[in-house]
Amino acid sequence: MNFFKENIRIAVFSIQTNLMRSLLTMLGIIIGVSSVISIITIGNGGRDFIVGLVRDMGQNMITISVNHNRVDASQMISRRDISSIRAMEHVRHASPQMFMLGSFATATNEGMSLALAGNSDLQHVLGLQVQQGYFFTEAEYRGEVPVALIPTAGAMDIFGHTNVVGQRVQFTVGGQTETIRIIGIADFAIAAGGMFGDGGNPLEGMMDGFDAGGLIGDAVMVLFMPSSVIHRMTGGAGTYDNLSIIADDERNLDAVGSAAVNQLYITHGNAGSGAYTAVNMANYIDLLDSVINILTLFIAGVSAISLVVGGIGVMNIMLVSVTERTREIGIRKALGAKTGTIMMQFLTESVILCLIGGTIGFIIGVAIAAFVAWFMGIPIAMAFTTVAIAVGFSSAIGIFFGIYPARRAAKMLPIEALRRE
Amino acid sequence: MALIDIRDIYKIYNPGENEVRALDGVTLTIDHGEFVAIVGSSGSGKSTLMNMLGLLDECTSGSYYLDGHDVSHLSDDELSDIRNKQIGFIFQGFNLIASLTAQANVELPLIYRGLKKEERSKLSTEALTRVGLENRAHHRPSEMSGGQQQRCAIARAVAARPPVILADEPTGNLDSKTGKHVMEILRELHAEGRTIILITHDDKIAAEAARVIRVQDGKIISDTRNS
Repeated sequence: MNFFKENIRIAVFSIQTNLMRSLLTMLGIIIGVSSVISIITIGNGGRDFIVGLVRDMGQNMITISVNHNRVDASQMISRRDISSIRAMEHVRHASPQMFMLGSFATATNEGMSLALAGNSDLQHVLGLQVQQGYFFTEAEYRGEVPVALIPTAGAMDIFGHTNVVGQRVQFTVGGQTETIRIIGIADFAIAAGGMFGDGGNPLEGMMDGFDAGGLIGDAVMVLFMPSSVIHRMTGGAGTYDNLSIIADDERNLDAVGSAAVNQLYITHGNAGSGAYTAVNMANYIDLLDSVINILTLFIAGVSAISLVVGGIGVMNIMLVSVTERTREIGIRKALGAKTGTIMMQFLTESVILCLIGGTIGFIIGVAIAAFVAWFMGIPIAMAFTTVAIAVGFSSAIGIFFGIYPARRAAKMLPIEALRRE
Repeated sequence: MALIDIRDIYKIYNPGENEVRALDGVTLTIDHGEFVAIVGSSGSGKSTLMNMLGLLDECTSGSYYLDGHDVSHLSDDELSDIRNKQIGFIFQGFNLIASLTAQANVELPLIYRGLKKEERSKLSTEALTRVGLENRAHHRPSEMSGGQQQRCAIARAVAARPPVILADEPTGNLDSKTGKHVMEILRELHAEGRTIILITHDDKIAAEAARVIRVQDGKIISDTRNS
């Protein structure tokens, strides 16, 4: 205990007397620790954010897709398929998602139009909230009634107000033009935060992107409408290459997915052809999770290199310190200090140097992470392991790179050490 | 039994054609309670002899019995232990640690002996008082005069009450008045029964010792007792 306290006192004194040198030495450790901590923290926060976003966007969602190169037209998903899947146990909603780019015209405005189409369950599949009017019904879908809802932002852009129920729009796709009656306003339920611009939604953000690039005229109209109308206009077969299913519980995702795929194989008599694939959000989240984890680890590994560089800096300084204090080592040995005592003295010094550097690095790292998290609008995910890594790493570096100079100091013959000036 | 008993000690640098024999077959015994001066000009080998006696250096060949124990084949740590318990060093250049106060310097050998804090501060205060430095205890070496520094070094040498005091030119860096004071302290220590070994090139100082050993070219050329 005596030695321990004494060593700490000596180490602190030595760091104080060479403050500038000690700070420069710590710089490597500071940069290393702060970058490791900020990257891991930002990475974790980003992952939580993205995973949360994906989860919100498609909670309990299963996407069934048709592998185009393995099927002919008769094996696409038909309305009857959708009806039978809707009737299955644990299935809440099921709608295809169809995206169709066309153009629109009103009395005062015209431009590009993006139709997001499906059946009456499209509302749930896309996560839409009806602000005004009503969502089109299954009867309207079956009856191919030309109605549509538009988002609030679109209503403001095109009509300048949101009192748009009953307005008519000329919608053109595949060379056919029809008059569409607007029956309501619907917005995406999840606001995606600042990440995709102030549009509040990835799709709208994407639209903004088109706008900025000048690809689309001065206005883009998003239409949520029955896909049957688009099929009639484009003369399609009335079948789909995808189907989004919402299950009643997260635990049933896999079961519902495979049941739906089996049902399709039975109906179309093409079992074993691999025509249909079911993917649920849990799969996406796992995949996303592992991709982000690998990225974070990779970047953390890169910044760990600066920790090693910092460690070599500490070793250098300790060697200088040993050389400078050779005479002191000689005196101490003459007075009865043992090899281990001298070694502990210098090891203590390098560990303290690294711990101070590690602490400063930790504070800077957290500050950087907090700033970036605030700037990007993602949560801060400070993990205990991150702190443990920082503290553990910096003291490990202190011990590892301190051993060589400490041994060199301790092994000297007292008379050799005393002769040096 | 002699306190110090060295036989046929050689210290040879650069063995071979250009070898330098710093010690060339030295045999010497010193008894408990003696006051011995080892005298020689610079390069005579007296400092090397003192380093051997103080276990600070390894000899090329020869044997060394300290208080009846063979110390010529001990490990580094065992030697540290013996230095700590048996020998008090007074160096020409004081060799105080600049970053420590007088008291902390005096306590160093006590720390390495593993003494508790209270005991250390009792012994160090006692030692500082006996050399007249009790009111300089919290000064650093740079804040003290040469004479004060040497007295501090003496306090450090005696604090742990070792039986042997090895003093290498203890007055070499001091003016004659402070030198006299230092010699006085050494005489007192001798009077208390400690063995004093004094290395010097100055015959006048050597004359104060009871026994004078002259060294030249690594050999003892005379060993006389003052009456």
